[in-house]
Amino acid sequence: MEEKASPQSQSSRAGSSVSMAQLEAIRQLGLANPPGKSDSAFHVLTIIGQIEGHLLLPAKNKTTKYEHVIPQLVAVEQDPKIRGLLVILNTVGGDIEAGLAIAEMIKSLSKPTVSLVLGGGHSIGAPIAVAAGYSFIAPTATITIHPIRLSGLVIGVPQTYEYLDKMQDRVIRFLVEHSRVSEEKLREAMFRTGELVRDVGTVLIGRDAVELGLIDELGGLDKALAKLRQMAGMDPGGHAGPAGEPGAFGWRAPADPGFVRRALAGRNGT
Amino acid sequence: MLWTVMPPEWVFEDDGGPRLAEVAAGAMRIVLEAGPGGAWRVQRVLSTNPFDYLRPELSPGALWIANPPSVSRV
Repeated sequence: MEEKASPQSQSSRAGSSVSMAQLEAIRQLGLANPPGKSDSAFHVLTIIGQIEGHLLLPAKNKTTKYEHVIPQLVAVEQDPKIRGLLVILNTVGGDIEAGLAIAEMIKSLSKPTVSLVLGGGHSIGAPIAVAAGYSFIAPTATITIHPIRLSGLVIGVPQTYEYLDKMQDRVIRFLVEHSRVSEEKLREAMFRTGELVRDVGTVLIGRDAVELGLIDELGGLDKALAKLRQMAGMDPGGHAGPAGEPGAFGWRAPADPGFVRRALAGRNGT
Repeated sequence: MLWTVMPPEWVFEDDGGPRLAEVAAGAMRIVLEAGPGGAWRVQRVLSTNPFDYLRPELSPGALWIANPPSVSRV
């Protein structure tokens, strides 16, 4: 299935006002501008749709791929300019092994990590959310906790149940070790009947997840970034880091506190 | 093994879906979607750097003007 854009359409789109440097960037990278150096102190990892592992899912699924995320996490760990990582989740779950792998990578990052569940962080999304150093959930976001199921051909032997139980234990152990939830409470929520239509389990909406102890705090982007700044040893209150230091997303505080006042005074001619 | 709130028949149903390709651009990767007439449009940016998402040439739906991908689906 190979297809290439015709040369005519490419040249007409590029236009005549493009400089030689831009043309070179386009030729090498396919971009009008080469990727610039970034001052962003915090990087962002989005976990969206299905978490994809060994199995390539049909193209209609929106997926987070293991092979994309893992090298990104290695790069975040190694880049000295990056001070922390914000993980934003809106996922329906997916592959257990890939999900646990991403969770273990986030957990073992030496830099500050904060997670924020927006929309949903269901099933295997929950371990990823708790893997961060501190976790937030939006008041309207939900986490569905339910037992692992087997799909496809299932051999009706006791070993099948034991295998399933072991997989279940892996996830429960990770959740208990990396959040305030007790194993007893988590199992009770996971096997509760009468809450879900097609399944047993519990839907935790915002505050419920915090009260259960799975997520640390209710909040949004502002709180998540303030926490990240605090964990990274930067001023958690403002939008900037310490004077002269790159703040969150590159905003630099003026080294001299009187700078803004004087600049405004000068503009007004007073 | 999948652990998801989506029913398996939804996950594995293959209705064709859009034709996608992935290209490398510096430190990031970009997912392109094939449109009519052999054009490719930006569908998704894969980067942890938030500033990459502010680049107008990488906004969703932007026409990919060079290096048409030779790979097909991702």
